[in-house]
Amino acid sequence: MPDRPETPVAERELTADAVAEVLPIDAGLGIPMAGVEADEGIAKKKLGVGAWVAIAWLVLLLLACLLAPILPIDGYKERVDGLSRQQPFCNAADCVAGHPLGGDALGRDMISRLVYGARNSLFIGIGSVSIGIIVGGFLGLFAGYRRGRIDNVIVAAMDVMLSVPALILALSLTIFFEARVQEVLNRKETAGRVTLTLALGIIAIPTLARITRANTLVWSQREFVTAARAQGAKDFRIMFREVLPNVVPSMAAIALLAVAVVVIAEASISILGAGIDLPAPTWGNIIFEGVGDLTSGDAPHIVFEASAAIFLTVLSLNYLGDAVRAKFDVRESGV
Amino acid sequence: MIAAACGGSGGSGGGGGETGAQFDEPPSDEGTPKRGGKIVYGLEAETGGGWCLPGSQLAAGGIQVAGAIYDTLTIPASDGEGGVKYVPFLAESVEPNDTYTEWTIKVREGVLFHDGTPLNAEAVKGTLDAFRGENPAIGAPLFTFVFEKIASVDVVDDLTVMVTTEVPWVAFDAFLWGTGRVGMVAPAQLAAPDTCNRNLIGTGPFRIVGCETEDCGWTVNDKFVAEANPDYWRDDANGEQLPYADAVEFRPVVDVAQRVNGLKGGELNVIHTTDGQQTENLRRDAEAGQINLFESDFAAETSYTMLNTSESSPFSNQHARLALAYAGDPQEVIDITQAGLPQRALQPFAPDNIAYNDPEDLNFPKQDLDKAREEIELYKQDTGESNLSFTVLSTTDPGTVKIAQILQSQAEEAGMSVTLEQVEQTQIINTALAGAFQAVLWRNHPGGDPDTQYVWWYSVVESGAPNFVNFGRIKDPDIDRIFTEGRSETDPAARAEIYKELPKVFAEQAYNLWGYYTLWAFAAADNVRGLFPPTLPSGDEPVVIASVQPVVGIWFD
Amino acid sequence: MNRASLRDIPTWVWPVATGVLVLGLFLFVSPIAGLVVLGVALMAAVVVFSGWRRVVQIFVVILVVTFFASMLIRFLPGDPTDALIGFATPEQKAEVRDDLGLNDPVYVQYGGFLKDFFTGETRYYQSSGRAIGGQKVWDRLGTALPVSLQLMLYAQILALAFALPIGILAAYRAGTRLDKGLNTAAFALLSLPNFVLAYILIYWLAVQNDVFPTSGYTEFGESIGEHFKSMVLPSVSLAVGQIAIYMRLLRSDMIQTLQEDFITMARAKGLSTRRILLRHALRPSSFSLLTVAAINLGALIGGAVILEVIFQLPGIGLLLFQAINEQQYVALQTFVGIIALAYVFANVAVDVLYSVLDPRIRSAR
Repeated sequence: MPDRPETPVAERELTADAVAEVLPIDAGLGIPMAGVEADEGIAKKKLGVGAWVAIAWLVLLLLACLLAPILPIDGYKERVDGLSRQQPFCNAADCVAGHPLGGDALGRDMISRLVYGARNSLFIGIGSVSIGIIVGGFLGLFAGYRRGRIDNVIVAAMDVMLSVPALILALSLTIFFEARVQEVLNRKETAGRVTLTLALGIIAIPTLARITRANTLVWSQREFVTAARAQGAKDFRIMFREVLPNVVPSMAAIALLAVAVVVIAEASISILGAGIDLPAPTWGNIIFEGVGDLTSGDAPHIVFEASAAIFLTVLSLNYLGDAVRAKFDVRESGV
Repeated sequence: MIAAACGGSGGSGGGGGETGAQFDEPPSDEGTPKRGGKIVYGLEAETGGGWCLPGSQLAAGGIQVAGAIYDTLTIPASDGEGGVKYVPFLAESVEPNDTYTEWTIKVREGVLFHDGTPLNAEAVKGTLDAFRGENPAIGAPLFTFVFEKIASVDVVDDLTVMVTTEVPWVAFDAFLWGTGRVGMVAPAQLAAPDTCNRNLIGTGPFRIVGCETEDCGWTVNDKFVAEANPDYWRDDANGEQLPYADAVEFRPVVDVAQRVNGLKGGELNVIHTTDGQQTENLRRDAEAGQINLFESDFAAETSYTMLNTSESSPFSNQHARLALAYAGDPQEVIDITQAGLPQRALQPFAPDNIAYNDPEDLNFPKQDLDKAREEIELYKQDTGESNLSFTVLSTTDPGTVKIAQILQSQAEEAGMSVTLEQVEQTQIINTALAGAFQAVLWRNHPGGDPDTQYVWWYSVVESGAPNFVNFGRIKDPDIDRIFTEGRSETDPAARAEIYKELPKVFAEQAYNLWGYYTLWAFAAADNVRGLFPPTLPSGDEPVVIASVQPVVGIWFD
Repeated sequence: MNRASLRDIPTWVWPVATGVLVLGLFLFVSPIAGLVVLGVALMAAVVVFSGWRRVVQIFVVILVVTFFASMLIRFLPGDPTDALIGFATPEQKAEVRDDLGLNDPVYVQYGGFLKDFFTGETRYYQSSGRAIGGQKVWDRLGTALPVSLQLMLYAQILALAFALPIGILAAYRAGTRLDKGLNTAAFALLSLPNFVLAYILIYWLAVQNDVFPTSGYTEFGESIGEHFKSMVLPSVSLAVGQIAIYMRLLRSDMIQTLQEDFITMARAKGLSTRRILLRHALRPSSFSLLTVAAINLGALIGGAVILEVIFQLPGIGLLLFQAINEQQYVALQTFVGIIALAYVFANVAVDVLYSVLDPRIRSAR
């Protein structure tokens, strides 16, 4: 048989990377990551209106999260008499005033549930993406810069991690790790959050490593890197002083997209009942608690409000991530 | 019956002016039963472990299936005064001797198992021995305790078995029903332990089909299919052979709203539920004439908070228990999570039970935050702890978790510090067995005879080892005495007096914080008849206890 | 006369012969035999197209993934048999621990797991009684796999059926308001989680208006109408996110292709727009579509799991969910292993397909 060239698979990987750049998809979580408009490829100098709206929502969300304890809203455990399952914007005489988003089944104010839910969901989201970026970013940087055997090993390891669909991996890590984490931490309340953050962080690592590596590969071939090496600078120094600063902007974009993915993943895991323990809310477990009231038709607003929060946040993160990418991503500008 | 509290539990019995009927009265004449049709029954859960009866812990869904495939030796019937008596069913007669230490069971002649083998004394002995834990290949972890006081089971002749008991056992016939779990199993099924949980061979009105594939008509999470048994031994009161329907298909539908929608949409023609909100829904449909609805909290189970009284738990101290009892308000739980339907329970026994106390006479703590705070102070003084703090365990079922959260907020209002933990159903059972909890939401104790509750609260087993199904590790000499005396007291009036002490002990000690009686709603399409089971072969009228609703008499108009 | 060699057999014979063999084994011998032969055939194809190195890579992945699956149970603190067979005697628990290789060194446990896994011997354990008698995991999979495959297949078909025309339209009308509108819609749909869409559809179409059942599954054999009715909402929920991806990819691909010379030439030759779009512009995009489909497979699987739970479809996702609830750790490990392997092989299959389709390979023959 004639020698089959290696190119088909390598070609497919490159195409895959190229495609992934156009439409990066976080395989296995059931969540597509947003992509960039290919024909708007030339880096825009300004962020459009949409991006500013997205920023506004995210800033509002962050402020609400940080200031939650001092905001004039109820505690997330507080039950208000007569508020049980109250519809949003309820005007009738028997409605409790001052709760525009209504109440959940136990009579807790939906606004406070959503705000404290945001705290937990975003904590998990940002926490796990941070783990992913730090660990995955470092691995990718290392692999992309050093190449050779280290590169092969790291890429192989990342490939293996990517071979298990991410939701399955996240679920199994959560289930099997939770008890150990609880042992180590010795505190039940935070164990759930920590386990989820770790599990989702671990599954974020391979994708982030791959993207960092792809970006590092490109930047490492630039003249100033060759020059630095010629001057005898040590590898680590070059990596961190020359290459990393250029890679970071595109990492920022990916980070935003990754947070969106993780928020949805946490919600998926909570809907399956494997999320953090109630009464601590996350958007996911608010949906989990509220499904019965949706299918019975009694109080669908519980699920819809939490879903809207997730959707708006993910939409904003995706939009912003895209916009930042369009501005900074190396590949798009055709380097 | 072991069942961690599932979301949704009972309500008041009928008599509230709606169309539902109580199950202790047969309905008015429904006409002459017609043959044919397939029952499609929506169950509240799948029975993942299958039906190897001696070893299984069947919950409500599993018991429904068992009732179609198997028959029990005795069955509960109305005693004519609103209470329960046990009459022979698969057995022709079940007779004790004068001292209640020898029970002679004679089975009906000519009854065949689904595989054609005869129901005889050997088969009965084989089944009972398996339930006693005497069968080395089939484990019976729970029933070994239940039947601990059986000394031996002996074959007398081809159709007669004699059970010898270690102590006079007055209500032994109640245990031969065992909430529908003690069905007679064919020797062939027990002889193949590997397939015992799904190759089901009983004497019941329906038999499984399709055993070419290993699963024999049971596709887990999908359906359990059984066809009518053409050789079923039982006839109805007019001499017509049962069952009327051609086949039955059990479908597990965990989400109750989806189960109700399945009924309305025609995919299911009978369902059961304990969810108060959905029961309210169903009442509206019944009033509009769209469905048939029967509700029952007769001989109901109780939903409650079980406390661990062993040394390692704060609830070993009576003040801690009383503090939580005074802080809690089950009525709020009932109103918020069950649409207000179930009846508040102040004791584990429902009104039909001989052990039932008039609530006026019982001093079970009612909500009183001041008293709760007092008890907390007393607890702190007793133990030197700075705080009364504990964890409440529940399943991950959203309905149950709501109940836990309400309890938490009530307890915290009184000044306790409460953490919630949600774990999977099987883990709850294992945790309860290990006694590794502090407070857990639970549901158990269906009615019938109070002797059947022995195994849950007696402090030790025969060998003197601790009783591990006494999850709360209750070691109360009064309770032990009540059960020992009650089991063997032959005078009915005296016996009732003995058992009546039990709720008083619980009210004083607050070992368990009773919540409410489970209200079961059985809803069916409007052409379905025979939800209330047919007259028993002995001529008595049946009763439906807790969730056990026989499908044998269902027919389609 | 030249010696006949394997090279002379027409290409189409190989896949057909393999297909027949696999199907035969699957139906008449055992599903596992069929799957193993399928796996071997795939590997052979990989050798042919990509060389031995790639095969070694794949084997390494398989080894690591199954190793990871088998080690999950060791992460649990305490004794897993307490969860698996809580009611059993200490002797029985010791026996099961031994069986599972928990007392042995890691590689022995792994070997045991592999053996059980590939012979279909991994079991559910009955927490109520004896350790033996638990059902084999593969038995339940037999009825569950078709359901999951149906869900994923319908979703992909739906996605492509909608994405192709919309993507082509958007490409053709690139830059217009229609195009911008479609892009915005696609972007929004990408950001909509599948379970959110599922709940919206359930509320609107099942609870408020009785058009579809809120949950449940009817087999195809039982009633074709009911089967599709029960699959509509789940498939749509799964498909919508995919529609957005495929549509955007197709659009961007086609825009580039439409600018190429051969298109201008075709237009000059007077070919109709439709012909140009469908025959000439679409073909180069098939590679990227294929690639995306492969990358997407993981998303499909994840989505299938959660939608099966929401809609109570008795597929492998629901089995996984129940294994979690019933603490059936061994079954859970098996599912993780199976899903991961299926994913690996699907990707390998796409690789092979890619090579087959790549014109450079075909022209080299």
